[in-house]
Amino acid sequence: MEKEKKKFSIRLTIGNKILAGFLSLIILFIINATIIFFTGNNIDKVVATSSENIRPSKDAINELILMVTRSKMLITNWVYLQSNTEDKQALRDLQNFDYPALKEKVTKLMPLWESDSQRMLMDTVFIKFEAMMEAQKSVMSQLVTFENYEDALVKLLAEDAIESQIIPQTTGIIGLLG
Amino acid sequence: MIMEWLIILFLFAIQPILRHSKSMRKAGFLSILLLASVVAHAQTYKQHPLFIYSFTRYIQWPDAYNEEDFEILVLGDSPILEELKAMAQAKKIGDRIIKVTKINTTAEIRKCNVLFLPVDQSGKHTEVLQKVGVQSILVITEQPGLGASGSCINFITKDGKLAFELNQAALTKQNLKASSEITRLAIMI
Repeated sequence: MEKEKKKFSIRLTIGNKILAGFLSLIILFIINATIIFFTGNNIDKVVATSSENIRPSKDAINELILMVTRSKMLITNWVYLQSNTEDKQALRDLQNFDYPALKEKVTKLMPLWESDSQRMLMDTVFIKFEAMMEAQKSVMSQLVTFENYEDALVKLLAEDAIESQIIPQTTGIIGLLG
Repeated sequence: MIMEWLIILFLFAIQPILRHSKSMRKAGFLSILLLASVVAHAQTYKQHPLFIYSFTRYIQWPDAYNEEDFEILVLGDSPILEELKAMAQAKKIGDRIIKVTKINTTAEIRKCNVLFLPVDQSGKHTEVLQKVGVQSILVITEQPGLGASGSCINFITKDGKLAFELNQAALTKQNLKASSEITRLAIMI
């Protein structure tokens, strides 16, 4: 019993106490370093995902919102500003080049998205926008010549298509993207 | 034109049945003629609601006429009633509901926004104008000559297409204002 007491008293010397303190500090430091390392790794991953996926996707979606709004403005100009050939060409370019390029860009980003519902929503947006562009093309094909613009029935039909189809469809698409 | 071709095709298709007996042939032709007349009559009103709806966008009524539902009165029975009711269900004028009402006599004319006088009621034109007086009611007719006789708008057929005459003096009398967009497309009187 006395031997054991002796051993115990040896272990609790000042030197041992200091050693134990240093050891605790070293262990705490290692734990802290490990936490910092993993947190840093996570931040790095988030930054990488953000720069490679989220930010380009967000930019592309904003670009799509702008394109939908722009197409509405251009088709309205097509109907109401007969001689505005610049806007007419811009609408043709939007339909034939700008939109297909943007669709391809978004389609490439879509597999990186986490949720299936987001991908499905974007597919719905594409379908709706393409349907709207078909409605726009129908208006464009009816209003070509000077005589077309002077024909009351053709002109009023085109104005009605803008009001009853294209504007509500644009609002719907922007609502889905917003 | 398409309907006429469809009817000819239909006639061609049922030729073997019509050959069966004389009475059947007679009955067949009569029913086809009837069907053709109904279809042709109904078809003529397909475009009218589009025009009338456009008038509501380009013609301005005084404030007192913009408070309640947008009401269109139609005098007598006309296939346009169904077309206008279909339009009323699908569209609104701003926040206002479009209400289409059939009236049987000129005595029933009251405050409304539009009064449509079908072609078979054209004989009552003078009576209608007297009843309307200076109320801000857009009187629309569809008989050649009625535009010049005081209707605000008169539908006519020009080069096989539906067109409309706009009587500026009649509009002014009713205290209605037409935008340049509509006067540009109209045949002005």
